[in-house]
Amino acid sequence: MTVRQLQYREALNEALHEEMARNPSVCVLGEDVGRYGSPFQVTRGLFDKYGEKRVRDTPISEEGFTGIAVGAAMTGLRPVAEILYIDFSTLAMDQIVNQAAKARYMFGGKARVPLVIRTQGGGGRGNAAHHSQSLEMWYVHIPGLIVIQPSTPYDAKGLLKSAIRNDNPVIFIEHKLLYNTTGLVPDEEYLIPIGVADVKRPGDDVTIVATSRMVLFALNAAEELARQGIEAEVIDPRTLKPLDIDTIVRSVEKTGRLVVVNEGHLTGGFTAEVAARVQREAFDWLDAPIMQVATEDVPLPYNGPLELEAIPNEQDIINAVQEVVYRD
Amino acid sequence: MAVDLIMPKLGLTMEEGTVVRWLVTEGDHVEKGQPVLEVETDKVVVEVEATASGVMGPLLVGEGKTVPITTLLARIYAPGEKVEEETSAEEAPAPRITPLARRMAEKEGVALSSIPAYRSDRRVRAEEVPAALTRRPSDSRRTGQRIFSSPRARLRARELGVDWQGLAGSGPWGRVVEKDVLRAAQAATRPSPTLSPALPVKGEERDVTWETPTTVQRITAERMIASFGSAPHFYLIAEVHADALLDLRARLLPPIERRTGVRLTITDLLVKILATALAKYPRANAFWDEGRIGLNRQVNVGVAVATDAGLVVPVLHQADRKLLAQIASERTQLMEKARAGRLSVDDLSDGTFTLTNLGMFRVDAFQAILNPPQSAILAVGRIVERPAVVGGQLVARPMAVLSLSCDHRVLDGALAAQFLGRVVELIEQPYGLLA
Repeated sequence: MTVRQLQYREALNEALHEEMARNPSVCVLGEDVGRYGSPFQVTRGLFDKYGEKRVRDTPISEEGFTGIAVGAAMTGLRPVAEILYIDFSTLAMDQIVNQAAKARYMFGGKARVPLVIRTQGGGGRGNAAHHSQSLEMWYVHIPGLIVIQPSTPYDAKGLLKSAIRNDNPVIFIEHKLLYNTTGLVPDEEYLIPIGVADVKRPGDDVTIVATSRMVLFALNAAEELARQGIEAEVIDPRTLKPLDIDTIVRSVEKTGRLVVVNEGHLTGGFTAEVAARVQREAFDWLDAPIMQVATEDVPLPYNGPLELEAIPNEQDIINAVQEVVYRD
Repeated sequence: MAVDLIMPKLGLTMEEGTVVRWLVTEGDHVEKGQPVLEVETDKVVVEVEATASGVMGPLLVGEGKTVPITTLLARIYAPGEKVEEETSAEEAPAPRITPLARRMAEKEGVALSSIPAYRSDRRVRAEEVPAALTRRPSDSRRTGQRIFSSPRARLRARELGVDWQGLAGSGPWGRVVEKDVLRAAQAATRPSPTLSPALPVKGEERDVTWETPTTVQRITAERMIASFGSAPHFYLIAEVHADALLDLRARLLPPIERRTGVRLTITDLLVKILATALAKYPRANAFWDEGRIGLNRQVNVGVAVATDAGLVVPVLHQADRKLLAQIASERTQLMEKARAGRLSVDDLSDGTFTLTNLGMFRVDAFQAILNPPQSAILAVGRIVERPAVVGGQLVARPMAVLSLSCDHRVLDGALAAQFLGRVVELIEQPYGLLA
């Protein structure tokens, strides 16, 4: 098997090329996804190869084209819609939450919605409060939706391919500051199953569960902690819903300590969800309170230093770990 | 006037020390010279004595903590003297407090110290103040009304049969955490003064008198367990003719006594012989360290000495480079210091091989446990006349039995046999020492 260094954006682009070649039902739609190849260049080359019939530029109308995608999915296509910023997905909320997520249930299993909504979130790029949010938990809350947040090029490609082949609506959330990151991706075709977490770094002293870009921060923090003699196990759930709680619980049974890191807001967020599940399923193995590292409960500031202060960083993770390892 | 008790500099190279165990608690009356704590350097564990008579103040450095030399460990007060507020050397840095939180706390009359630092960045924020208000009446974490424990600690306690409620927790607010239970379970396997009364006594009182081991005995016990449990031991036995050795001692004793005032012993000769042989067989002068074999460049022969406090092993450094007279006089000094309990850290440090001699007792032969981390130890029994065959004739000859214990990770039988053979050769033909 040969591997190459690919950018996250390139890995996603490959997944789309491969799936469109594999299945003529797969189509792509969204704002500027056609000739322009989408602002983050993830749909690059698709228009030239598959033409206007399968790669559609849409007006700036999130609710409209999401509705088209839902209808197309229910009537036999496998659309991949791109919503440029997750902040704009709020405009399409009725289509996603009330239609896409419910159809299979409300038609007694007779309707299927094989839809992927690709979007991206996260802060740290100076894009201010309307373009920096991490709204993954809005979708995690809704039964009927699958929510995926890949942190590496390898995971991004394998999971996007699995998402396109899945018969249920998938909210596939990328991160605007991961598109330029690189990682090893095999030449051969591969799939990553939905709902399976990945242990990004093994360790015995503390478990760090982190999502999306926070995985990179957690790994950096783990390196620094290792220099202090603390071996952190870093777990990336990759799929937020359904959540692979078993992998997390197994790790906590080993370490007795858990720090959950997520770029969403603290209150009512992913860190709270994981903490609740783990205290219920691994109560007897906990040797310390579960720590939450998340974004402050404020709209993300445009001001650079304030923005960086609001979202979690490596030091926040290190502090949280140190607080629960009780080292002499 | 309170007298400071500081982390002492116990050896030339010592820069920091670890508090192993406090032998007293705050408020105890201590006599000057009484051991009050055990300190471990990177080499040995020693008792530190009270620097004055009086009452122990707060113990400022917890057990298991490592601090630089001269760090204040505690103060000893005159009876009735007021105890000063001491800041513990190990206290975490103060949390940062946002201005709004400070204003709110002042308005509400909440002690800032009662507000936990919010989240992970050790900052006290305004939104925590109301919560601290509601927490105030039930501040039982500080009053000790309830013992806090982690679920994991309780699970372990159940598994190991440890009564966690009696433990001093090392977590926040004295929370008993897993580590405390594991330590207690470990401690329960050896008799210790704090745990022995809690040993379960079924039916009537058991017919046992409990003794507390001295520090030296306790450390010896721990080291022997570690050694016997981790180093695979094997033993080589050799009987030696000791007539040439006794003859050499008889000839050298008078001149050395005239020169140095000390009497040459068989032990001195054995130290010299071992040092000479060790210089030729570095694997017998070595140690195992996590998959590597460390060959010591110096030949430092330790001699086991029984004292009232227990077994100690003072070291004759670079014995291969010393004359017999030097070895005899140094060994004599070390024995005197050992019996008086005045050995320094340097006296006890850096041994690379150990000699243990029970020749003065009615012991013919015995096998020793390795002195960790050393790879070999020689046990010598008494020299006594035994029937020997010399040139086909049965004759009476002074003989002794040598037992060499080896770490099989460092030495194999053949190599150990070569080393022991060289030792036997030098005992039977000690003029080889000149070669």
